[in-house]
Amino acid sequence: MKGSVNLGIHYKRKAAGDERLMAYSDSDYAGDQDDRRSTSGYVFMLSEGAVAWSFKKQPVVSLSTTEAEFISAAHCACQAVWMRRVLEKIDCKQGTHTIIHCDNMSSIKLAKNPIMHGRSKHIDVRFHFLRELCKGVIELKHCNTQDQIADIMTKALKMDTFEKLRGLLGVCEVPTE
Amino acid sequence: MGANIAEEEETQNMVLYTTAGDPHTYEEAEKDQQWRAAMDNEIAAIERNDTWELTVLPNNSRKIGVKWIYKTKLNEKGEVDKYKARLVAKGYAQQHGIDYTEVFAPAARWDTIRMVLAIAAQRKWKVYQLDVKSAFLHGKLDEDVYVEQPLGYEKKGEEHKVLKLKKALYGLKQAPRAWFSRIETCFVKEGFARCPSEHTLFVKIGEDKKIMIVCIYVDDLVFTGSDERMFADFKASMKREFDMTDLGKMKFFLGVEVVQNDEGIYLSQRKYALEVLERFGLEKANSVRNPMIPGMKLMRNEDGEQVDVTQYKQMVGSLMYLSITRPDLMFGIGLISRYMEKPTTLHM
Repeated sequence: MKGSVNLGIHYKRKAAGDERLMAYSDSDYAGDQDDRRSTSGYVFMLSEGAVAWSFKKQPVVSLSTTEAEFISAAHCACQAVWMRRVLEKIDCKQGTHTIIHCDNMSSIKLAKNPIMHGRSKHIDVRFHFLRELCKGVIELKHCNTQDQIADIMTKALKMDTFEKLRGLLGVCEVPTE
Repeated sequence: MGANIAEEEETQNMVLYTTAGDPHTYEEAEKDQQWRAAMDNEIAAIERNDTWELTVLPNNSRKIGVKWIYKTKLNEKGEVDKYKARLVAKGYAQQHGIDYTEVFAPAARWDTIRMVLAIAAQRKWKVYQLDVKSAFLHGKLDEDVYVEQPLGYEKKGEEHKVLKLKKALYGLKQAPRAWFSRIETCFVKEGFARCPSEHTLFVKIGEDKKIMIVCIYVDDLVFTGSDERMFADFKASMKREFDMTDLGKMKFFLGVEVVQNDEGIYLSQRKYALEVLERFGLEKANSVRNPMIPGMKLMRNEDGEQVDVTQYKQMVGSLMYLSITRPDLMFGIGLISRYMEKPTTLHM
């Protein structure tokens, strides 16, 4: 912390992606060595700066990485729905669905098709919630681990990865006026 | 959605400011000219505001005590700005269902404020800030609440009488709620619409789709939009209704520093971060570039040497507040906060 007191978030005037909200969702499977619960993490980006983020231990123990990622994506989707409503009110209606980037292929598949039902039926409620949202409000999209900004919320990273992702969050040296 | 304002303010005050040397009691304060003047000012403001009337306490009613609080306010440079005396009601003695019913009041979420700023950055909108003086005194009360006469300001010959409150005092349980509903009514009258998914966000659409957005955080109003003329009208009508300080362009809000320039909008907490380091004696600590050791895992540590729980909690709390502008620290903070129950040297 000492080395970084001058850092802050920058919302860019000329931003790639215009006024479109982007989300990144990730999880850390069974990350807590005491009770083996997983953690969810998400980051929302707007104007190339992070606007909302969360890092939270999941309320239930999940049995697979897919399940952990899935719960995380559902958590992220709830926030997406709320943020889209607020943005609409401030005259920034999201024309299309909000993309949630997720680095786990099978949880994306799970959200799209009712496969592997034997192992996932206990996450039923979240399952239906997410599937319904996938019909229009959000879209789950695969992204490579290297571009997964939400990693910074769920893992202790190596220096170079940490600095790279921090930059992607829009965290930079703040000018003194 | 939105935490209770009173709670929010309390934590803020705890985290943000501490000044030593202010008097604790009326007896200490009355010896000093500057504090007597401060109290005169407070009473004058309360009376100008038509807060109370002197009456006899009805049977079956209780009176609530009041207390003076003294605080030296410093400016950004750390110089004395003013001496402030505040009369507060002992709200902790109030009983639910008798002295108050509903207490919840929403406060803006940082998620919302950051969203508004991110949009303002792209649309080249400037963001401004207004501050309502003695906000809670503006709230109108629905319940009958009686307080004792303040020390040093008892009416001669009528010392046995009490004051019936028409408007709220600081410290009353319902004060934040009463204030919020007052300002809400005022905004609706001004033609603003409340956002149903975020009660502290108000939007007004003018002619030609001109727009103005206001976020309320207790007594701070942050506003932006596409038309400067709407701002002027808004400020004028707010000034008619309340006593306001115009802070101009948003620069400093709840400990967060805001820079607005041609590149966009920047948020940081430099001052606050330095204060936190100083408070925990870490200003001389070595700086690290990575807040975490890669792949690090923490565990409960039953046998480890215990550390001061209160200090640990304060550290975690300060770091949490810092995460407003530092999402990169979130993981580390979330991790250490799990061990608040029983922190050991391992977790420091």
